[in-house]
Amino acid sequence: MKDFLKNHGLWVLFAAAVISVALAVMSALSNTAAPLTNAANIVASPFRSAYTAIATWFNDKQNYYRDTTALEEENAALRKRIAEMEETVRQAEAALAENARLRDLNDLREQRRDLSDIEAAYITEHDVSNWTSSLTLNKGTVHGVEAGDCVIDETGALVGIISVSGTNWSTVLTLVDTDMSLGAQVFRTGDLGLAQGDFSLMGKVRLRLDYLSAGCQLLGGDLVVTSGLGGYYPEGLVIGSVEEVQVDDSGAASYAILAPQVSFDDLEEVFVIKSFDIVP
Amino acid sequence: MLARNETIFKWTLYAAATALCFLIQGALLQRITVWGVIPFLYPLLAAVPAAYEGPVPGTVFALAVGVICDLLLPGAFPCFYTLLFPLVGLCAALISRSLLPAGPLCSLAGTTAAFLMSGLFHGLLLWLGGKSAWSASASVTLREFCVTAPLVIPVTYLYRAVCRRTHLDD
Repeated sequence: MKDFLKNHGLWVLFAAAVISVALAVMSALSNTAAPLTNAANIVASPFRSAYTAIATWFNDKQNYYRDTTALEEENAALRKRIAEMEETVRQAEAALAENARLRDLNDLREQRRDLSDIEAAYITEHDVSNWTSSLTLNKGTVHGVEAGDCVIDETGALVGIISVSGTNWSTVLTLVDTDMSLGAQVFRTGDLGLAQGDFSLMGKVRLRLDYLSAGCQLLGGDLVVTSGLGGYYPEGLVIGSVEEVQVDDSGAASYAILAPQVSFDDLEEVFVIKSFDIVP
Repeated sequence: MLARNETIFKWTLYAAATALCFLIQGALLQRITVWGVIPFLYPLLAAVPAAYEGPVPGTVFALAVGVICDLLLPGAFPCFYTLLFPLVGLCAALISRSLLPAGPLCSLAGTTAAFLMSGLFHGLLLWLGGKSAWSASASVTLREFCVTAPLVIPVTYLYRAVCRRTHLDD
């Protein structure tokens, strides 16, 4: 090889120069690529395609990762925003419900000016025993709530009477509890009676209206309200409606089964009547 | 005979187990209504420890549980559970000493006695108040017992664990 280059190197160089000049002239005179350039690029073309394909694949993966990461971040942000908005909606719903209750209470205050001092309270616990029907409220003596105060809902229907009052809590015996007893009047007929809890009816969420005259003309659905006699409780608070009338064992008097106006299980907020004016 | 520290430790563990049961009753069971009644764990808390600890300690512990129940629950009269639960404790302890060894069966027997006494006392109080409701009382007692009876097993095992932990030398 060394000898070949030494002997013929000059010829080889010359041939190369001639070929180069020839190619340059051909390239200058022709509109297409030179044959050698063409041949070289034909060989290189598949490799270029392969490089490009691989590069595109990598770019796609990179873009996919970047997009996924961005979407995940966006998704998390949107989820957070939805949770915040749902929380706002929940608060708004609670506020709307409270607003409606307060509006009803306001209407009640307009209608019942004798109920001079009312305290709103939330129910923190429903029945705790199978032998009593009670509610626990979050208001107590520091809020002016005392044993014997009437508890109503926003429509003015009687829920029960405060039986025990602590510093920041109080217990309400509902209308159907066996210890409950209060003067009542049938709104339509004016018949007087004693509304009292009965253990046999407590499970069915009913109470009795006792000491009615045997000939009383009560109808199913008649509204029964507090009589206010004696001045212990305000008059005209709705207790419930007559479900059925029965004559007692002696036959001299009758009693009615009452369905309370209030659904005790659904109650969330109630109002304690701390003081009231006796209407003559 | 346990040393003073061991005695304190034992009753602290019993109190903790009882507090756990109070928590479960208040947080969970009170919100479950089956057959129109809620499961009522408190009589078990008087009966089961007494079955393991014997008449005197068991009755005293049941008395303490009764006082706490009277403080927390609205009752037919102010010291209803304070009067009832020592009897329940004594009864459960006597059953465990003379009839059945302390365990789930003995607890069930003690619990049955507890609910019977509770129903009887409630019925008696209603009768004394002129609002006699014997059949309704019996119905509530039966349903209350049936709903609470399955809970005898976990409560028994809880107190048995306390008893075994604190009577290692027995």
